[in-house]
Amino acid sequence: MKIGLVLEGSYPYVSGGVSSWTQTLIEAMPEVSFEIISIQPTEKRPEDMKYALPANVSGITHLYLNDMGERARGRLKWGADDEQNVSDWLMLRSPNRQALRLLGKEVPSSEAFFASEFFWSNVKAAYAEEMNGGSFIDYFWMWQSMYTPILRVLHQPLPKVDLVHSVSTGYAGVVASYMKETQGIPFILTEHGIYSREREEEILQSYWIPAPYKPRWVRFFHHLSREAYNAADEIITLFERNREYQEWIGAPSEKTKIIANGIADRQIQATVDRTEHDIFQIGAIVRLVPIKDLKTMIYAAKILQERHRLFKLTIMGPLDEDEEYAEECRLLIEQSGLSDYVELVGKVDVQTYLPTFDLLLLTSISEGQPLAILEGMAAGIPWVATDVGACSEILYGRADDPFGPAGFIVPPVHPEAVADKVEWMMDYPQERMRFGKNGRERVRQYYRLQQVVDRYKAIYEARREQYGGHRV
Amino acid sequence: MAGIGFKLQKLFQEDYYSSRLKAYTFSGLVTSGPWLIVILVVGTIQWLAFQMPTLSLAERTLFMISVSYAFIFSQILFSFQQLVVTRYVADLFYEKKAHEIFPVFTGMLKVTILAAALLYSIFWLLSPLDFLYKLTLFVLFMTINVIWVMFLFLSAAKYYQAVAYSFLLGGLISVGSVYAISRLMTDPSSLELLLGFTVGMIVTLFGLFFAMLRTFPLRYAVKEFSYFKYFDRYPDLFAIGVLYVLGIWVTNFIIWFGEGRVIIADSFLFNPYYDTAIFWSYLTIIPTQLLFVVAVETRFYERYRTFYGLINYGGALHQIEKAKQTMTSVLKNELIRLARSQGVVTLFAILMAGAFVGWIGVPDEIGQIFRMTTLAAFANAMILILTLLLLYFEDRRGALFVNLSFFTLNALFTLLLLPRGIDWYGVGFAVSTTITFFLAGLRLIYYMGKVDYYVFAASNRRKLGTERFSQMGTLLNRRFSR
Repeated sequence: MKIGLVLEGSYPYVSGGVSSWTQTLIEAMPEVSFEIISIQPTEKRPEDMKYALPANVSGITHLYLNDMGERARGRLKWGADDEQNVSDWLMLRSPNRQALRLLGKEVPSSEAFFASEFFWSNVKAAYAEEMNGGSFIDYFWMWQSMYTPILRVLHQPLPKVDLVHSVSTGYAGVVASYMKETQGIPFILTEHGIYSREREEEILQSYWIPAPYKPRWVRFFHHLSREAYNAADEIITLFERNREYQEWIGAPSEKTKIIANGIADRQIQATVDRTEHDIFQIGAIVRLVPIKDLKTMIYAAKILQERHRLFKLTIMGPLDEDEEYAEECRLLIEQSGLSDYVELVGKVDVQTYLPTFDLLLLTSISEGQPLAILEGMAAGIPWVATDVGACSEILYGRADDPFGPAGFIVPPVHPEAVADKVEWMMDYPQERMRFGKNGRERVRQYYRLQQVVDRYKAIYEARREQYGGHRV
Repeated sequence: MAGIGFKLQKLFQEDYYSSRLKAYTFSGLVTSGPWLIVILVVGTIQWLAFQMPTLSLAERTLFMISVSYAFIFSQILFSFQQLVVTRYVADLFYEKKAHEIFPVFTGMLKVTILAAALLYSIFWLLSPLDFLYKLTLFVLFMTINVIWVMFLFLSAAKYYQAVAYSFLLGGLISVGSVYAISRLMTDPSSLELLLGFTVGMIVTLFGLFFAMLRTFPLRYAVKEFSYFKYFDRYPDLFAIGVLYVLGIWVTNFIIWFGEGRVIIADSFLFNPYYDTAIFWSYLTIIPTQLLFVVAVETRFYERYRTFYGLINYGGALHQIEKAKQTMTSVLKNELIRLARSQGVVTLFAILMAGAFVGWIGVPDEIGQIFRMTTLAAFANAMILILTLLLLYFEDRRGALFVNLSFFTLNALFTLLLLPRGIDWYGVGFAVSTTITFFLAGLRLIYYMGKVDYYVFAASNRRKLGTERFSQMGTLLNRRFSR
């Protein structure tokens, strides 16, 4: 079986959560052949790769988003129905795979499309609906820059595969929907973060998009997500909260499914009895970047110090990703007189450190489904973590979970609450040990890598059968 | 164009009769100035020659036809580069690269001189005229060729006064020297007339040349032929220029082989009936050339600028559409007014043709042909204006189509009617230009209906930034002229 894995701006050129997930998935299925379809803003060379491609990767198909400056050739030859379909799509009214097919196959060149009267009349109609007298030429250029990447990705050669699996919505979702439509193959969608929400945040924060145009850009990316949700056979995400977001954006709930991240069996360790010792050891597995809100953690440490608690907080994670922020944290530790309590150890082998900790801390203001928590739980260590992403779901378990809590959830940016829960953990060593055990059992039951691989394998097989077996 | 519009508007704000007159004269000199002055000069020299009893009709005709040939063929040579170079120079001005213009001038000059010399060498080999006459005509031919080229650059630099004064001065010297010859010489021939005329043209040449030196103080000869790249970029402009000029003369060329043609001095083909009628007919459209600048450029240009300004500088859609409507209706009114004014002049000329022919004592056939060719000249004037407007709106495709039709139909109808002889001269020209006039009008109406779309679509096709809209205004400071 050959699977087309569509990735936008990530694997194999950028490291991070999605990329390592991809690498792990490919490595875990050596019998399946993967064609990487990598969407990139600009040209990439082999030496830019951050990962060694496993042997079962058949190749990389690159789709570039940047404008190639095609010459205007030919004319659109669309009937009224075709125009209606594409219009609906351009106006962000509804998902329409027929429109994608037309945009991909029935456009002689993107220049010809943008120079067509059809495009012009759509821009005018949309302007009349959306704008209250703003600059028309800017609006026109916005439309063009909005749809240029779409035409670009659809006009580059795509590989023939048995199944297409997109690891985000956005342009990747459009490519996958288009491949499903034109090749008649199943389409599996896995969303780690919620793409359209992430774009929305970026757009709202960006200063270079004029304010009147922001709503349309936001709607545009939601539209792309809806297109993918509409076309996909399975819509998979990592945890319940994201699944709810998907539903809210427009994913039909019967298609949605949760497949969490998993931990390799070798990482699941026996519990070390740490009820008896003098200094309480706290660990944090975290990159030093603002989104992880290390400062809240340091303030919490200060509170504990003021309450005359003895402890040692070891922060493990690269210091070079945001050097300014790392320096701020270092200064904060120093100026708070915490140098004996808090240590920044940089990037270390977490597995060797883990057994020495009594408790792990996470104070992020945003997370997906953090692997770090799963790793800690696998080592039988309890957690205090903020109520973001999947943290609560992992630590407390889903509705039908039989194991009980693996730690405490606290509100984000709340040092007092963190300090309280850490104190509690210090004072109740037996309960603490029980939390650690709960966590390890939950990981063993629900968060094993082998399960993740098996479930994806089963989905691949079932959909392939449904759509008519091997064809490539 | 743009520059004239501004200047004229300024002139009209002073509501004095004299300044208004000045504006008309000025615009007349700019648009058809050289052409008008040359006609007046040639006419005056003709008249002077007429007063010289010793000068035979053949000698006078030889002089006339030599000058005509020099003008016709230099204009055709010029048309091969005119629009493309005009566009290139306008773009250089727009990009604030005025220092790169002088090399274009020398480049174009070299190409022109080479082509003119090659063309003339054919004539030299074939013509049995004597050496001195051929040499003088050669000098005249080269002079006129160079004058065209300098005329282009000075118009682009909006140095209209220099152009006007150079032609005036040259014209006066031409007339003066011929007058002197008639006084001093006992037995002048066509050679002396030609010499006198050539001296005047050389004076014009030097006048323009000094104006060139003043206009372009930075002079060096690098990348002289880089303007050739515009032939790749705008092959349609090249074709439009050539087709228009050939379209004007093709009927003459064909009729030089028809009934009534003569061969002058074994060197020049000539059809006294048709060529004379054509000459007079084209004098009747001088009002259009004069009025076009004033009527269309001042009143229309304002709306044109508003329209493109709104597009370019962030106007809302309803503002753009409003500006388009205003511009369209102003353009429509101005064109109707122009056609009406010219129509009255043309009608008057046609009605008076019989009386006029009787009065100056030329054959009746000329009057018959004149009625037809005057109608053709009317349509021709309209075609010229519509072509210019299409080019202002960057509809090169439409302008090409119009001028292709102009050339092809003129040639076709004249050829088809040629066997019917002298009674049918001019009929083909009148019919074909009228058809092209209507086609051009339909094209402009169609194009104007969607002009906002075309602005955006065209910007896309050529993959340029938004500055191209501002560039529109500087397009074509130079126009076609017969």
